[in-house]
Amino acid sequence: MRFLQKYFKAFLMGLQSSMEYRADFLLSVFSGAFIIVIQCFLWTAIFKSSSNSVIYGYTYPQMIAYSIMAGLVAKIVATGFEWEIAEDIKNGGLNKFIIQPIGYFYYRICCFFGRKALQLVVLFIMSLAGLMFCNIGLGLKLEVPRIILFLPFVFLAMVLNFMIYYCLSSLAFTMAEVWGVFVAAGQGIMMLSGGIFPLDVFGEKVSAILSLLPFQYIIFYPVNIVNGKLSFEEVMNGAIIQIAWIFIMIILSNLCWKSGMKKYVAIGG
Amino acid sequence: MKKIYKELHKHIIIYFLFMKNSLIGYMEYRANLFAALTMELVYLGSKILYVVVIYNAGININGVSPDEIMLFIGTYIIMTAIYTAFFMDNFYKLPEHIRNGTLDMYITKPLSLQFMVTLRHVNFVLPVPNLIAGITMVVLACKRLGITAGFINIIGYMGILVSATIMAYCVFLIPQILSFWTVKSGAITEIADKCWDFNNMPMIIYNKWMRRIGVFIIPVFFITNFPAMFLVGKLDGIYFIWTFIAPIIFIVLLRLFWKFAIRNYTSASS
Amino acid sequence: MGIINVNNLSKSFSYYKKDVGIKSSFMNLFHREKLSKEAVINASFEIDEGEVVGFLGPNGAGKTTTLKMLSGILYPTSGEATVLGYTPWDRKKDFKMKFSIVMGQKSQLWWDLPANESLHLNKYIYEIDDKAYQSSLDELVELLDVRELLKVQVRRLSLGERMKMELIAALIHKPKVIFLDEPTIGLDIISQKKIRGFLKYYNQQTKTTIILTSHYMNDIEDMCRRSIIINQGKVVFDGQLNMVNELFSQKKLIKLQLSNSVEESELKKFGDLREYAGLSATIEVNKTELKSYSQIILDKFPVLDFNIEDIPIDEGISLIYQKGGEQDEIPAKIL
Repeated sequence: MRFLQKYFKAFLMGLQSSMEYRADFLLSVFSGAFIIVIQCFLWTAIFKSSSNSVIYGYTYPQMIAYSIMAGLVAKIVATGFEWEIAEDIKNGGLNKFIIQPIGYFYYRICCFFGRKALQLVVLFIMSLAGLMFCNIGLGLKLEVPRIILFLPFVFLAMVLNFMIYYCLSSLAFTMAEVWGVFVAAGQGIMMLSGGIFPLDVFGEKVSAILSLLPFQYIIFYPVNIVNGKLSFEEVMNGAIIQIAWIFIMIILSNLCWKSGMKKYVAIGG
Repeated sequence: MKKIYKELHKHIIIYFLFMKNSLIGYMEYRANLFAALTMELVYLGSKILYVVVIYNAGININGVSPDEIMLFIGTYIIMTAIYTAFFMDNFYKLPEHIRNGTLDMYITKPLSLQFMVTLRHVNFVLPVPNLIAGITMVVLACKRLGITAGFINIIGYMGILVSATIMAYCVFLIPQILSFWTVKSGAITEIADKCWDFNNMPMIIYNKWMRRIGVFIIPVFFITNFPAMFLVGKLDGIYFIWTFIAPIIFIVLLRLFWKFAIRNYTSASS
Repeated sequence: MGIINVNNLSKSFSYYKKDVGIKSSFMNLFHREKLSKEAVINASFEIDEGEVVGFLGPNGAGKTTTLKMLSGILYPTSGEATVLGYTPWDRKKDFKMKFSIVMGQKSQLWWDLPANESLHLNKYIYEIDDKAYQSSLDELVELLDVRELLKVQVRRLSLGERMKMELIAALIHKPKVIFLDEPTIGLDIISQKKIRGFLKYYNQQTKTTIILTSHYMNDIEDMCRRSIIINQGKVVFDGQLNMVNELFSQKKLIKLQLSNSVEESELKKFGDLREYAGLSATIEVNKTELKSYSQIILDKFPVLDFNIEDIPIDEGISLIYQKGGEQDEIPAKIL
């Protein structure tokens, strides 16, 4: 069991740094709430002005629940370690991991979950409050099994998003300046995973294409589980594809990192 | 009077030198440039997504037609271009100047410190896609709405854009000034940035109180709504007067806050 | 009245205490302990036009803080100062036009541009007319021998070359007073020497008053007739550097080379035995007994080589550093 201790230590380090940056986290939750507010107002205005009670396939309570939960799930899965990895690659911080018997990947993922631990408590309470509001205030139908299903789905979404960003961060091996790519990818993934609008607004053709990509399993799917949009069958199918994507991303990141490391070692850090 | 004129003249010449230096500096980082452009394009895409959603829904929202909304969003995108061109780089760098102590160097220069720090860099590349997209959208929307390109419309729109630019400078510099007190100002920047996103949609979708706050207290709505409102003839009464008064009030407030921050910096830091 | 007058200048900072560990990070959520630090305490001195004065002291002694107050970057907590007749922290434009500051680790040059662009910008910032600018630039470039480097981007310059550019940028408007904070930090010996030589020459030619801080002894010894030693925020010495030695002139070092080894205890009788390695020894003796002891040593022991030396200046200063806080009488005696 001793070999697990160092990963637990990485987890604790993440936890500690999340406390260090608690103010930043709370402020970022606050600013994350802005987009929720904007979306809620927008949809309220649209539903009020429209004669239809279903728009883009969503009822009003479903759409509001979507907007609230999408904002929160986006915060739940949010990364940030990609910047640190880029720093490590650029400044040779990776060297100590080459020497030490600790896998960089495991270190990163433990640290990631450590950093998330406290935030998750806050965000899950907020999610619950949001759902209760939709239930009591707007008459959204809430089903307990859906909420229970939501949890493992969100956990897998975190893993999937971690994998995607872990892959992405290997770009720092080949590019000198990655920040533009990170920011662009961040916003792009946010859009394509349904973090701003439900993917249905793109129209059938585009959302058919998007369903071939891994992104929708990060936000769009988990959120549509709780708000009652997806049938149980769709949820189960989604789960399988989501897990498949995680494996694909693991293989892909392995390839990216191997070739990146080769380069890194060749240059000498 | 002559003295003020002389100082103004000096600052204008130096501003041109800043522009020139920024341009030469930019040539240095082509890879960087490409990355930044990609980023800006993705953001532009997510702004246009709102227009797409509105057109697909195909309804008047709170009495505003999709064409009018396109006019608003086009103006918003133009303002984003202006902001990224003249202010963004400088505002991001302010905390850096404080942290690295380069601000110390600037304090000793016989030139307005605020001018030197907040207007030092001009970005010539990032605003380009926004500028093109924004102008296209505004022109297209005007055509569909039957707004003519008359003298009054053009001068009025431009004038209000200038006033909005001044407001953008004040409203978004104020939160950055907080970095004189807290070293970690990333979250402050993030909040300010997200405030900008409230303009993804015209302010008409928000309720009365939010609109009042967004126009009079934290005037983010002012910046992107007023120019478009002028074109569709909805900028009347108190709003019209506010267009002229607000920039003056906010410049004064900003100046006071800036001086207070510098005073604090020079007495508290090490 | 000197060109710089400083009277009882003090500066204190407050900051928060922070411990490491998960528990204390957690505790910090609720409570932070506020501490304050006296960076400069009642500093007083006067500097005349054309002087070159060095501020010496260990890291964190308050040298840079004093310099920042004199250049108007910081407000003092109490006390007064005038530079060129102005109170620096009023930050009057006229004052700013007449002085300059160079900080070894903070650049005023545009990183991505050739240095001449930054210099050209300074021409307008300091309102220098074309002719004066050109002649001033030519002179400085010639003296520092960097003409070819003007068109090279600053970030491609070596540290030494960059410092030369910083100096040109600081001197282009012919300031009356120039503050230099660690101007030679991180430079190799040759570059250090060049910069020192330049500053010395420049001071002689233009009678510009130069105040510099450094923790390289050589900088100060070479350039400054007068130095002000600061430790723990206090001025502990103000005068000619070689006078530091007078403090220790009650003591001398006797260095011996012996042909046969002598018992340690035998040598210890004369004074403090600083070094002992069988055939060589260094003994610290009182000046009053120097003569008689020398006689005895030469008679009694098999001496090959005999030297009498002063206590090295570095050592003298570090002794003053140590005394820092409590003993104010020492400088008083010297002055």
